[in-house]
Amino acid sequence: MMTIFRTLFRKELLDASRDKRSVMAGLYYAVGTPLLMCLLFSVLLKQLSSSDELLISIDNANAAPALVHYLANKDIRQGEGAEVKAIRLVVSTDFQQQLQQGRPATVIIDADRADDQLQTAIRRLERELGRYNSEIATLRLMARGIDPQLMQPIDVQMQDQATPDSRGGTFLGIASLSIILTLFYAAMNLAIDTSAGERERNSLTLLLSQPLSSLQLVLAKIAAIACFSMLGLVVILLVSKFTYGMVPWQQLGFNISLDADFMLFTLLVGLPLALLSASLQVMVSFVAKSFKEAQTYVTMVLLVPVALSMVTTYNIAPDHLQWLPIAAQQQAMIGFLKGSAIAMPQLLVSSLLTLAIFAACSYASSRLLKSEKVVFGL
Amino acid sequence: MIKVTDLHKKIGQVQALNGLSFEAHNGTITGLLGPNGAGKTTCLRTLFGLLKADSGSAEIDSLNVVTQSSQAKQQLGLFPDPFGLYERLTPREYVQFFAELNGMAGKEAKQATDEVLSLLKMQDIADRRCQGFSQGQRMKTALAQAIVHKPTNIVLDEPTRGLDVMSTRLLRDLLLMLKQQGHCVLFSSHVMQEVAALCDQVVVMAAGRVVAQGSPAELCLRTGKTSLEDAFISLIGTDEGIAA
Amino acid sequence: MNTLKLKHLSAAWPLIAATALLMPLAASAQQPKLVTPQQAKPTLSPCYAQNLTDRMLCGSIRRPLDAAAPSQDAGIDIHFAVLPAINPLHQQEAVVAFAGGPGQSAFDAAATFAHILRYARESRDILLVDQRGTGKSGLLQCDGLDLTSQFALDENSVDITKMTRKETELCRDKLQVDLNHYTTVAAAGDFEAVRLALGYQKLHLYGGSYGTRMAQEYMRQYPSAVLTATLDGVVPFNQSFGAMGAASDASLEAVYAYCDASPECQQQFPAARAQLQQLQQTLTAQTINTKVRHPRTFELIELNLTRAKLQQALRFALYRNSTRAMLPLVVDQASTGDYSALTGLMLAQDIAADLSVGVNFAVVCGEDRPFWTAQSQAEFAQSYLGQSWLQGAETSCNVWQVTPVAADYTAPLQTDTPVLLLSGGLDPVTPPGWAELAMAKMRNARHLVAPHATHIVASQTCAPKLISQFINQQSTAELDERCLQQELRQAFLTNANGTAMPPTALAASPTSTTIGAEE
Repeated sequence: MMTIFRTLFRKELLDASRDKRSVMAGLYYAVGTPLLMCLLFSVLLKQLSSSDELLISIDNANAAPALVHYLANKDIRQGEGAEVKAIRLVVSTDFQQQLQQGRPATVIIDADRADDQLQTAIRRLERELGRYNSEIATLRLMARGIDPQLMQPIDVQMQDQATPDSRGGTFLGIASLSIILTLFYAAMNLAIDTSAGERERNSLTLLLSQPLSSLQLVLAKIAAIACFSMLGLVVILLVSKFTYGMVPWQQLGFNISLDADFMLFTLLVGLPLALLSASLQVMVSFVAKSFKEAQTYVTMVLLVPVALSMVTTYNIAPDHLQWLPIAAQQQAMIGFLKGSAIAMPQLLVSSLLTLAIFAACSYASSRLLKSEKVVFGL
Repeated sequence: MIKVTDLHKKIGQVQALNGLSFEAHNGTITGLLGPNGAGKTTCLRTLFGLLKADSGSAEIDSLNVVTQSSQAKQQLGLFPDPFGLYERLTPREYVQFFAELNGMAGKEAKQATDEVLSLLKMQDIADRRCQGFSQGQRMKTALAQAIVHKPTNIVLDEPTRGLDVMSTRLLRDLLLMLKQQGHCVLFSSHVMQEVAALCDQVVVMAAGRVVAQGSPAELCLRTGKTSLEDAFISLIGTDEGIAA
Repeated sequence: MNTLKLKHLSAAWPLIAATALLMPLAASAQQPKLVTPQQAKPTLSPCYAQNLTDRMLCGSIRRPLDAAAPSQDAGIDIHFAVLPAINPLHQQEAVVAFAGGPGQSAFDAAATFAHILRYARESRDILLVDQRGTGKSGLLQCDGLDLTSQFALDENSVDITKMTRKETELCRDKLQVDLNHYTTVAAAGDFEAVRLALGYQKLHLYGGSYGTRMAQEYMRQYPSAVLTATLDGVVPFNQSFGAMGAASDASLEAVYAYCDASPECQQQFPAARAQLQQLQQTLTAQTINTKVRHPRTFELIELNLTRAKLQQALRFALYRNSTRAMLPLVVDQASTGDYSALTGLMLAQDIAADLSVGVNFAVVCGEDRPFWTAQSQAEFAQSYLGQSWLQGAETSCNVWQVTPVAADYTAPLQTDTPVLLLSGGLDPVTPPGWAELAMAKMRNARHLVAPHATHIVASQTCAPKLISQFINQQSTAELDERCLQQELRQAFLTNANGTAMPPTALAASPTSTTIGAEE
């Protein structure tokens, strides 16, 4: 039994390793994704970090010189040209008069809140206006001999349990998403090639005519594919460690660092997923009638892990989803990166579930290979 | 020895095998002759266990291909049509892989591979990948795969299809050699000349059953024709699907 | 609200002048537990500081009270907090922040330090250590008068020297400590011990106000442990605290010079200077007895307004540009008998409430008073604040009896370590001239002045970026000081509601302005 499996496995590995195009396609993903992410994140960080000068247009600035000066000291200035954000601060004509009389003086922020690129800038402007408000209010109370602290009946002290490692939020999610999906994308071409491809090249019938069981054949194929998935995982972890190290996360007050412990953890958690990925894709490829059809089906089926990973990334998964494969593993990875407690029950259950799906898919594939329709692609 | 007894197999709406029975003996070359759609390929696939017969049985060296499939298959070498080569493997890797699949241990498989490669005079191409091989080289590789584990029975499915003259002659020599060594050689074909030239025994099939069986001479005698071709046409009642 | 509290550090300065009447606080009498010193790595646990949401890691180490005789079992727990680096690129280094005072807790100022060192924190840990006798490291505090008693106290009718002595004796008897162990010189070793315990190979120093002197002392004792030092609001070794009276006067003068140059201020308060002089003269001659609303309870309470109270209120108002902008209005109203704005200004003194009295006196009596000369005393006495500070320090130090530090203490620090000195041009306590004194023997130092900043430049300007750049480059050569030039002064308050109106707008609505100004 084992000898046959070993022989099959060795041949699958050898054959797959010489399938440069499929292997490289998987590795392109593993190498390219972190690079792309790194680029994307850097651009995004630039947009998010607000320490730079913010140029807006201010209407009727003369009516509120003190306010304009205050904002300028916070690097929010009236500007001209392309750099100016589409935010207009309109100072009411009676601003000073209202202020002097102790009535609220109106300023209007004219901007499109739905514009994602403006949101940070708008929030920053609002924050500084708020500070100006409280500074003037403080002086007004002091000028009346009243302790300004009276305006703050409750002293709300936030004690944030987050650490620099845990603040990455969505970024952590996206990073772990790209890592976990490697297990699927690195396997995709190989899985199709070794199943639908093997059938199309007519070697499948020859193999099945040999003294072996279809389960042995299926398991050997899955094992070989899983090996390449894991290779992809190793590659993306190494590349990610390198590239993410170059993104200046600290400017946003958090850090994403993939250390050796995380890598080992991910490899361990990823192993069952690699088996699931391979068995699922092999099964789907066998169900398909041709190579092309297999590509279509596998692409469609891969939307499921992508979706599971997405809802985890954006933290919109309902609680019970967190017990499912991929979601739970990714959650655990994020937890590990954040340095927070890992939900062990979820991870264990989902890992078992992952293995169960792997077993089911493997068995189903082996049954498929007993079907004349499948074997001969009828 | 290969023995097929009363095989029935329906594929879709077609009764592909309809009570097929014949025997192929060791030391002889048996030709399975029939027009396209006669059930030759279905018969062979049933023999390898790829298709399950609705009824009837097939035996290899008295081993039932369904109930004792592993042992039976080890005694069977398959030369398929198409060959089913692995383009990215070399003949040596390919042949050794099948040797091991048929129960040979690593060393034994390696030795058997060496032997069969030299037997077929393949040393020059043994370590090149199959990609870009000529038809003759492909045929040799497929044959090496079929006989590397020294099965008593060798089954060839339309072995000369697509082969050039040189390769066909080479294959013919090889089959004769196998016959000399006492193997049971069974091949399916719809090419008359080939069957006439090679076979000791001819099994003529039509519509999923045997319509006649015997040596080419016997068949001519039985039908009163001088050529096997005429005999064949008279046996199956038409010349459709037969190549001269 | 927040901005006010952020300045805790900047305003923390000895409060030993006339109003500093100290009462012992029972709860604060702390006797260090007698435990043998241990060398094990301290355990760190999560902790938080006031107004700082970020999680810190806190721990403590046991230190002998008397470093010269550690065999005696008396010890003190030195508490510290690590604000972890965002991306710990330099794990062997930390930026240690020294708080002001003398006697301020670094924990209390954590939010300010986190803000000042936010860029530096991107790649290095921030280390906060409560100096011995402050904050969590055995705070030596005595309670002062509550606000109502403070307001009611008529300094002109009591023997202030006698009163100060009595309160100081009470405090001394309550605390029962030997202040010789709480000087700058004695405390430097604790910072080194914390550095060793946490395993940092090198430190970058950031000191604010008195913290600059602590930083200089640390450099003097442990020169090889320091990579860079940033001194913000510099207190040199060779300058007495007594000189801050003159600094305060100069800073006040700058307010009135700015008023002179401001058309709005001139128009609203044409006699601003004269009003202030008149008020000072009046209060020197007599106490004004009146009633004001308690700033928090709104009850009518008695206010005995004296020159001492006025000077204290002015002094603390000078720490911030926003309160500086109130001064002409406050004086104008006080001149017409309305003391509510002045009452509001007097609240600013609250900011020095949590100061460690013990450390304050240890430093003043051990490191300052021994070096007074007849000449320097005469010089300090030229300002009202300087004179009252001299009297208070003299009286208190006679009670505390702290042994003077060695005579070479006042020698300026000699060092090759890169040092960045920051001064605010309007600073009422540590004017730019003090930094020049401090850097006399520094061979790798650069002094940057933010002309319109007050005390602690880094909490008002772009200096946090410069500090981070300085720490990363370990050189002051490439720092671009231009951003320090920004105008930070605010327009003067012309009534209780806000700032002056520009002349054009004024002309447009004369009626409303009049109403507003009369409020």
